[in-house]
Amino acid sequence: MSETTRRRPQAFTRGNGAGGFRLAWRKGTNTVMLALCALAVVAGVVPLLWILWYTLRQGIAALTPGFLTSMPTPVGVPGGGIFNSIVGSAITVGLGVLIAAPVGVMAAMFAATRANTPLGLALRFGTDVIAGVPSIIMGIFVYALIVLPQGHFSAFSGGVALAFIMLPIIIRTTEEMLKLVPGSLREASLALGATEWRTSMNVLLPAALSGVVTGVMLAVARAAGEAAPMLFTAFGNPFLSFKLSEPIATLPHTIFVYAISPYEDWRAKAWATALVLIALVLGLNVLARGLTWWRVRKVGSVTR
Amino acid sequence: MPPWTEIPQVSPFESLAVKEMRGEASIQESRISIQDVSVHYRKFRAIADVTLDIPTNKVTAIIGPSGCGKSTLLRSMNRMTDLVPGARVTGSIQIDGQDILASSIDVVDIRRRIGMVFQRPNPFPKSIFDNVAYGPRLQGLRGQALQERVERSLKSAALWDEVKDILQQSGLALSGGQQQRLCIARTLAVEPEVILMDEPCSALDPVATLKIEELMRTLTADYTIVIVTHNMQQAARVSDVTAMMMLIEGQKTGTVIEASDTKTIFTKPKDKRTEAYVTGRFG
Amino acid sequence: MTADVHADRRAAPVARKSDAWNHGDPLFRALTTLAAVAVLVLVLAIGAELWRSSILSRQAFGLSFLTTSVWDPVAEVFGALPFLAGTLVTSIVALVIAVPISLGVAIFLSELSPMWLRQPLGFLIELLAAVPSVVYGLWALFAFVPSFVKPVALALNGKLGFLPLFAGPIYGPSRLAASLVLAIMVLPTISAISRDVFRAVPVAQREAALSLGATRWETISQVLVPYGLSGLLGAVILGLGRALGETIAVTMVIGNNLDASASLLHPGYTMASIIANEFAEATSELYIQALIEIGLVLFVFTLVINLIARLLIWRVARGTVSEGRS
Repeated sequence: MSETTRRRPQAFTRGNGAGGFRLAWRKGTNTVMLALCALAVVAGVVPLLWILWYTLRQGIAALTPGFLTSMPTPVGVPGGGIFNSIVGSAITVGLGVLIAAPVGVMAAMFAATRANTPLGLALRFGTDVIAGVPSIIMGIFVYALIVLPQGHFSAFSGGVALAFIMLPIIIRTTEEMLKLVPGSLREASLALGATEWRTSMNVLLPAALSGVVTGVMLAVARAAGEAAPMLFTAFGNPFLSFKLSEPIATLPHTIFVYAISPYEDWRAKAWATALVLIALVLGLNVLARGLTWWRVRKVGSVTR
Repeated sequence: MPPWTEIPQVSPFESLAVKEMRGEASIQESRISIQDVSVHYRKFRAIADVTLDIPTNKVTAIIGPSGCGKSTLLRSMNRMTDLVPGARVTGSIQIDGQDILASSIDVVDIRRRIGMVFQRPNPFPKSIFDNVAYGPRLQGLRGQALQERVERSLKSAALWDEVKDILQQSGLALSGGQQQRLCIARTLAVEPEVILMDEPCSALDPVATLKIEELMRTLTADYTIVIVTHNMQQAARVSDVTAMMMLIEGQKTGTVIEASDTKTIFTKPKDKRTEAYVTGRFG
Repeated sequence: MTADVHADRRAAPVARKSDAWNHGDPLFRALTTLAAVAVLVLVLAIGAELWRSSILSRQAFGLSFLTTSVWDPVAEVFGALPFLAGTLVTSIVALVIAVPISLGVAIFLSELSPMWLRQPLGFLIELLAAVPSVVYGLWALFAFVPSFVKPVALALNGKLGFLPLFAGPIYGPSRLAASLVLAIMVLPTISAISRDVFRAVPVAQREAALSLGATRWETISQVLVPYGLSGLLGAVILGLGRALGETIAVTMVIGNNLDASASLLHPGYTMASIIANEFAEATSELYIQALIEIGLVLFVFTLVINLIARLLIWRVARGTVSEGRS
């Protein structure tokens, strides 16, 4: 026995605050809380699965052949479809992209190159503000801006409202993508005597292109599902229309109108339309994700 | 003796200490006994077949060129290797007769008993007092007893005089050397038996380093210290026993090639590779 | 002399970004600046237009618009207090339910989940955010409310019906239904940001806590959460911002009823849902402008909330958590 063993009993009493009951209590709490976290995940995932499954079930039941290509029929008359809503959604969303994409990409280029100037900071601030505006407010804004002066609802106003909603999404994703392009690429181009414009169009944008496309896809997915702004702008139309100056039907608006109606077959059609819409929206999201994943695999680390 | 110590424990210390109090056993001279320990990270074998005895109440230094697994070996001693996904530790690490690698061992208790100080000081963004009090609070210490524990720990870490008037200030407001001593005080506060130090001075200036080396010598009175260092002069100054680690020929796996008292390692090493390293021919 | 200096300057290589800007291409500068300004103009335009188009209502009622409860389109007296209250109540109840669950999800995704599960699970939670509001409303109206909310409401009423909060009678649509749907809708927002906050905490902090003999839960609750607190707070407030403005799903399940009772189990109204519900029927100018004024109030609310949230999250992103020298 050496000197050290005589000191050992001290060591024991020093450490006696820990063991036994308290430790068991702490470990029990640990297990319970971690299990609750796992339960939380279940609570989060279950609604999604429920929605998907229920929409699938109800939607398929109500889906008739030609649903996508025929016009709505009067209440109670069997058959009929949502062709006008599909066309309307395509037109309004398309118009929105046409307006929001160029402006958004340009603004993003500004934000990426002039981030620390007063205007650059204001732009970041402004983008956040627009992103936070509820879509119904956007609808009222466009109502006051375009519908009132024109005196009628229109597909055009609907497209404009969607453009405003898409704008911050496109700006943010494009800006992130542009920031990820190595600065050396830009400097190399400028050093070769290319103007800023050519550098951006021919070097930066192509490098960031797939990211920009992803951003536009996500923006489209969001805009395609917006019903609230349509209540004040496009307003819906039971007939087929291609004119920008007339009201037009859109998928989410149609779902809303059918869902709160008192008619059984309209409600069934609401499910079928919802199936179409959710397939479109989720499909775009999955596609955007897949594009990101593919890009990372191809290039290595272009994105987070 | 308090009743709860009669409850069957899997902590190796308690069981042997209980026996020792009854006069049924004696603490070995070697605090930690590492036998044939290998650590795998998924397919990669970081260290292989390490056998090493860590003596009680002494400073043991683990030296060697970078990348040879010194930190891995150190971290296996308090099972911090468990935190790396895909990590597997084989062999046995005996502490007072019990293998801490066994699955029946309570990891939480092990980590309290075998404390660790890291390369970069990592105080919590809390006050100095709360940093040191964190561990004891987990044990249920409150009030006067807590205050005394915190004061004792800060004194043992040679930091009390510098911070006794600013205990409520953030731990992050201290200098690097002070933060490291704060981390040492924090570790001391849970009253460990062993203190593992992973290159504790590499992020500090020479003055702070010296203070911590002095601290290490004082602490051996009550604790067993194991330090990983890439600074050979430090190992020579501070340690009683030195273990030399190196990569196995032609592999990326490290192992202990020689271990003995520090004087021998630095003047008459048995292994040619140790000699080459300590005389600065490489590494 | 001056010519030489100029020539030298023009020949210098492009080193800094600002150099490129100043030497660069007027078309590029013009277009991008225009776009940036357009965005800002849009922000101001929204506020301005809402302000302008609610002038009749503002002049007629002043600040009492926010404090009176009378909403009478026939007599043309409009007070928005019930809708303010309804919005706040549903949003806060939604948060009370969503925040613990979201934090649990964030903790699981960042600390507990096995590696192979992390990406797919995270993606599933994000998909929750992608589902359009109208589909949420449809599902809530015909599946969620009958199968889940109604039984819960009945149970609450049965056990705790003596409290005014859970008083009957129970119809189908209710504030509780709206709150629950909102909770599901804000969950992905709060948990995604919270997960990022947890991931930003340095590994060294976890190691320090665990090496002191803390359990995983103690590490999470006593070290990680305090470390990331401002970011977590920002996430919650951002979720609040989303809940305040949510329209379609809420409109479909809240009942759109001017019920004045305090019960969660009764139908109600929010600012967004009354605008959606009554706008098409609004006949007089004052009526429309009163509804627009509600929109203005909602706009200001969400603006302030989102700014506070951004500030908190921005602080975390910049690492302002650690003060002092290190």
